[in-house]
Amino acid sequence: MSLVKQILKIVTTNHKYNTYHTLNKSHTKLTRLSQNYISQRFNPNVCWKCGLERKNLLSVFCSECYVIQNPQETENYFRLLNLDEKFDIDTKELRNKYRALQSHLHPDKFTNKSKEEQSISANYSSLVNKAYSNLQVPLKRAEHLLQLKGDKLGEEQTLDDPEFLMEMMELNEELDNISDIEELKKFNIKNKNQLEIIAKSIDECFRKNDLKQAKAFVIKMKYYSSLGNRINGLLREKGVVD
Amino acid sequence: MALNPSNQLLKSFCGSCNPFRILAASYHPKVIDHYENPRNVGSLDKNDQNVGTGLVGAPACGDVMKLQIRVDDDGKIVEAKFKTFGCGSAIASSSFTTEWVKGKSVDEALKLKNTEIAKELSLPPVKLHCSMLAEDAIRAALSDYKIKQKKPAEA
Repeated sequence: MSLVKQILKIVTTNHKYNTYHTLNKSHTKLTRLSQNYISQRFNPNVCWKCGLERKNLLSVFCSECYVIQNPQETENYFRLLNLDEKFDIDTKELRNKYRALQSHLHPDKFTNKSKEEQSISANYSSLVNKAYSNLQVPLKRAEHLLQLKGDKLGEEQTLDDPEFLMEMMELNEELDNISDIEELKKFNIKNKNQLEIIAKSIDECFRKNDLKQAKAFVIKMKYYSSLGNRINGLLREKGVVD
Repeated sequence: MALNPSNQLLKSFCGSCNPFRILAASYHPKVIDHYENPRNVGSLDKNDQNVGTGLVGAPACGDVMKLQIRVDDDGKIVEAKFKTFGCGSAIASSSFTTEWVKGKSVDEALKLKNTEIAKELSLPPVKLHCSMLAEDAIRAALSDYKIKQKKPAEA
């Protein structure tokens, strides 16, 4: 009996030692990891996992250990999707770049990977989604571009253009009086054409770097987009889907 | 028997049993009331000597708001109408404003502050600019009326 007890004692102490040892080991591993995290925050040119300098910063993965990296860019949606910073972008190119990126970093690809990689993938992927939805819509793209250039439409923004306001009021009232579907469709086409004209003006202004004028056109686009939303709502109510 | 408690639980989450539960999460009942039954919607003749018109817009949301008042010979606002194309809070703010100014004198109406509108409608901080829009609209309408009243005297 005493022999059995002795063996048991050794095993348990050994076990205790073991767990202590591994715990200690995993603890140091954890601190090293978090240090790398921190180091990447300060130096994004270094892989958070292996600590080596990254050769291709545009790549989603480390060229040495092939582990997913945090995005280099979080504010500029154009740069995040590797697009030229302009209003008149090629929507096909946008779509292709978005899909190519998501095919690499979608969280579904990381179900068997470590927690850190999963969380990077989730954050990166949702950021890319956000960027895509912002660049896809002309109005949001224009607002984002305006913000990148250091201007924006704040809540305090006022509009001192009674003629334009009157025009928008009248267009909205005109819409209220339309009941015929064909007429509604015509009104919709007219509005879409107007939006395209404004989009061209916005593009011109950004090319000339005339931010003041660009902002004025973005405001106009906002109003015509609101009108467009109302038209679409009415069309949907009447069962028309485009 | 065992299902009963969870049934109760489900009921308490069910929107159809308590229709305001879901709506109240985004808008205060007072806003919804003004939005669904707006007071004083319409237009007055803007060329009328006794009518003041205020037309304002909030570029950040693409809202446009028209507020009109009719003032009698004693300087009292006897009629107020609005037309707003915008979000629920903007509609509620203008609807409330037309109700508030009716029966007041021109000088009294000038004292309406956006904080009062926001307080009455329990607007959240992100919607405060809607109440500011309504304040701007009533001020614009009052100044339009005053300008109209001065003109014939000058002529």
